[in-house]
Amino acid sequence: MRRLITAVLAAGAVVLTGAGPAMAAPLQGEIVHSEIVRMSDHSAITVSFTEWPIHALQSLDFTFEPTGGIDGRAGLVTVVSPSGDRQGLKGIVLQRRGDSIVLPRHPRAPQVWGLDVVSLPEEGTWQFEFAVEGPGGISTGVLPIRTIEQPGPPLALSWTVALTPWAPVALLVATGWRRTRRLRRGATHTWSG
Amino acid sequence: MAEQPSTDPPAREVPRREVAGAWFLMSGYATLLAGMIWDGQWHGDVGPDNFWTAPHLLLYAGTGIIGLSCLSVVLLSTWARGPATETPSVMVFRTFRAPWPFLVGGLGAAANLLYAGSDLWWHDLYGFDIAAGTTPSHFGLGLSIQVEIFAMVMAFAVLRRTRSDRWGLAVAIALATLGSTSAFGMLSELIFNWLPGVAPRVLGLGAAGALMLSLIVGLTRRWHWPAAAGLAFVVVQGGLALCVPAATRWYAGAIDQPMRDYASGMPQVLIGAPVTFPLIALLAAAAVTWAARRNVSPLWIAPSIGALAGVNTALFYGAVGMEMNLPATLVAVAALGAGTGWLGWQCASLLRCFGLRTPGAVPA
Repeated sequence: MRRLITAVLAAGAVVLTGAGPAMAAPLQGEIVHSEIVRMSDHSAITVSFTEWPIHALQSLDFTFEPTGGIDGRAGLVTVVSPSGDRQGLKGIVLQRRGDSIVLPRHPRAPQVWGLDVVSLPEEGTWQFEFAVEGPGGISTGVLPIRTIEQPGPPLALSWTVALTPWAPVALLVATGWRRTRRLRRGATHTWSG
Repeated sequence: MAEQPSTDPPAREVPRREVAGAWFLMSGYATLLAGMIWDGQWHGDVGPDNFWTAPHLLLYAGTGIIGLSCLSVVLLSTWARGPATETPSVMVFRTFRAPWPFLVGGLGAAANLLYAGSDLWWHDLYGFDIAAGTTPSHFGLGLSIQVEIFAMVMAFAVLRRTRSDRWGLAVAIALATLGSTSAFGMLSELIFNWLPGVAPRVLGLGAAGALMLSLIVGLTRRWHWPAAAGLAFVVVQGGLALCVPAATRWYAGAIDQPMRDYASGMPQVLIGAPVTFPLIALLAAAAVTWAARRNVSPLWIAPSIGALAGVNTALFYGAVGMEMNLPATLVAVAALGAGTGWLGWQCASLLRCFGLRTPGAVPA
């Protein structure tokens, strides 16, 4: 009887630990909101966010989880900004196919696709146009995402405060350049001078 | 390396504190540059960070070394007995005697740390996405670092007395060429974004290369030293290309951060500045020899070297796939490079006055 209980417990432990990674939701404790995108072949992609609502310019992580997982599939997303830029989402290490981003695995949740530490720089409604290439062909779907006002002071004010200290520097350099005109003109412009 | 007999003005005595200060300033900037390149590689290959990551600490340690070196030279110059330094200096608050290169370096380091504080606030507010584009705090940081770069070049421009001083200048120019890509890139993206078809970043990087190359040509007026700067560039860029991706992998493992899916480990420093720059440095060396023999005016040669550095930048970034209208970018960068080459020669002529023995010949 004891052997049977041990075997059952061991089997249970194997099932639980073995199934753990596959069953675990991506980025547990970080995801604060999810949306379901219905695709053209009636499948779905669950899009999750680490910030919600999304402020313009504020960085966050996205995960993209298609029904049936990502194995054997390629995911593409074209991120269109409110002003119509079809490469509205810029990233340092993003692979593109035309305007589309080829979705990478999320670094901390490799069982799903994801984008880490990216931001949507404009306020308004963004369009995430998905295409998933799988054994059954290509399915497509669109998710509109609204970004609200950026945090902090207006950008123009931030830029003014950051640039103001350089105005006297530019003035100083210009004055120095003018005052040394005689010196520069008097300098010998020869190879031996 | 055989060198022609120097026809420089008679060498002057430079206080040891300024010589040591110049080398400390350069070691500080080299530390800062290593931190900056590492930080760029980290953002690409790994991503998340905070103010206290190792690349940031290296960057700010370098700034600290620069600031303390400059402060030490100013205090030692103020307290020094005997004749005052011949290096053009300024009295600060009617008390502190500050030789110009170290005053500029100290102010650059102070501004760098102030903008670092504002950068911390910025990232608290917006997160750590540097792909959002140039931020006001990054722009301020870039300009402050550029001021530190100019201070380093000025400190070695004042020396130029011995062979080691001139090697110091060559290494400073190599570091400055690589490091100036940051501020020059940001500035040109801000200024030249309206030019149709032209890649603004190429204009900035072309101008940086043209300025640094014409500076060393104008300061030394020998073929050896642009060539030495090219060699130093190979060593610095190659060394960073070897070490930085490995350091990134090691550090990511040490703090349990996974590498990104597309992280190839490709050294970003190899595309941060054109790897073909040393070839242009060699061509500049050849041009100096040719022009000296044929008695062709440097006022023609310096802009030509600048235009060549610009064209090289456009061709390099065209070859690595940067989006641009190549003919339009070539024309724009050649014109800007020629202008910057002229400016570099003029600045060098001014800086050479720093090395004159006669105090009356230098600006007060």
